[in-house]
Amino acid sequence: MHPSDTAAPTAEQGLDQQQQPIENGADTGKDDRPSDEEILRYERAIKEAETGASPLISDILGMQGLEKEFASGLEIFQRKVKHLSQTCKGMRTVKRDGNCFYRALSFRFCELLWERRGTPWAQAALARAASTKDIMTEMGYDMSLLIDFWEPFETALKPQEDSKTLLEIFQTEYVSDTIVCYLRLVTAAVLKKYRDLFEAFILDSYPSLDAFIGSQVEPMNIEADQPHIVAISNALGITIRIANLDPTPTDAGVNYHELSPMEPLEVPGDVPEVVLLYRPGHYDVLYPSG
Amino acid sequence: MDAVTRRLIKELRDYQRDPNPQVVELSPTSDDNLLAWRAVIAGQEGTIYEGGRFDLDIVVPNSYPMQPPTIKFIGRVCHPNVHFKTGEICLDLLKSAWSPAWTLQSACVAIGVLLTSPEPDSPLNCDAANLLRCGDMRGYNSLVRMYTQLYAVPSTAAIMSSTS
Repeated sequence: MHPSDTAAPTAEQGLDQQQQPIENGADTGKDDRPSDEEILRYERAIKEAETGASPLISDILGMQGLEKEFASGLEIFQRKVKHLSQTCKGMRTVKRDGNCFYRALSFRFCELLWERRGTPWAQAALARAASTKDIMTEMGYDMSLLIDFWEPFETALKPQEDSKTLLEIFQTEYVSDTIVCYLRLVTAAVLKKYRDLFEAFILDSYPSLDAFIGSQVEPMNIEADQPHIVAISNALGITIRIANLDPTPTDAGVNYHELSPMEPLEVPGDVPEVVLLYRPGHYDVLYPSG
Repeated sequence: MDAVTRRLIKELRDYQRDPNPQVVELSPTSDDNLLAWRAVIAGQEGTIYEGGRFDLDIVVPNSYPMQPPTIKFIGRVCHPNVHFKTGEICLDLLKSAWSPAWTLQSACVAIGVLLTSPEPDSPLNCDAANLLRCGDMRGYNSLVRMYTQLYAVPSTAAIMSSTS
């Protein structure tokens, strides 16, 4: 057996790697060591204190909030924010809990279905959304177990009594999180389905696509990145346009990244898109003018 | 019937219909509380845990499956990622990497896999982890075999407890 003086640094190292910086975390083996549940609860309490006051998704707000946020920021940011103010009629802020991309996308997608209810696009989009269940089943997810996660999304996709009802759905934590979770699982299923395509982008940083999915896609509160966005855009057949509020110089006012599905919905007439605002680590919903 | 009850009944039926061979038991501890479960996983043949039957205590939160179940070993298990005294298990899927696509059964299977794929860099049992980190496989293997015999092999565990 090893002397106990080697145990403490080892434990400390282990905890560091799990990113659980608790002061007395090195006391592995002693009874006063916090349990993992306590550490998780503690982490949640800290995050909750930071983000607790903000709604999961806000009413439509003017662009003044964004201007205020960047008022003392770099000139390049101020210029881009000004451009956004001139070209957008409003935005909705989404809670900064690591689920913002999925929440922003699912809300705006459902809102577009409401705005365009009865159109050929809405019918096609609804059918495509329903087909995500088949991709899940095909990729080995047990839909008979996960049907509870599809159902709230299905409810939100169908026309509500008014647009306010839809916002209430997405502001109800359990329902809203369930929808986020369903979209995460669909994203994971699409990544698996087009494994060859996505592996090229992922294997640099992760040992396998499945390890990436298990740690970066399926769990809640983990931010979405390019592969996630491409995958869910494909699943829903929706173009996602993202205004990138970063310090890169541009002549365009603000750079937009457009992610279009490989198999777009085939419907006549103009097809709506979801527009999001990206700042490093966060997505909000954006409403361009006109 | 609420969502968690419906889900758990479904999981129980799925297990009874098609049990994973490594999960030899999995059921609620009583008929009137679906949130407390007990499982037994078998140490895989040809591994240092062979012959062992490892009891797991499972507590299901009301927010399941959005939140993970709490799973602990009940008896003593010698493993770098299992607390020797409390049975606490260090496995990311039970914490930060949980997703509702997991089930109680698949979580038990993952714990079974963890037995033979330890992660000595995030230890709860530093003595076991240090042996692995030093590459002392002989010492590690015999230590694990000994504790498996002592605490998890039904016949020897019975003899040990009657003579001690």
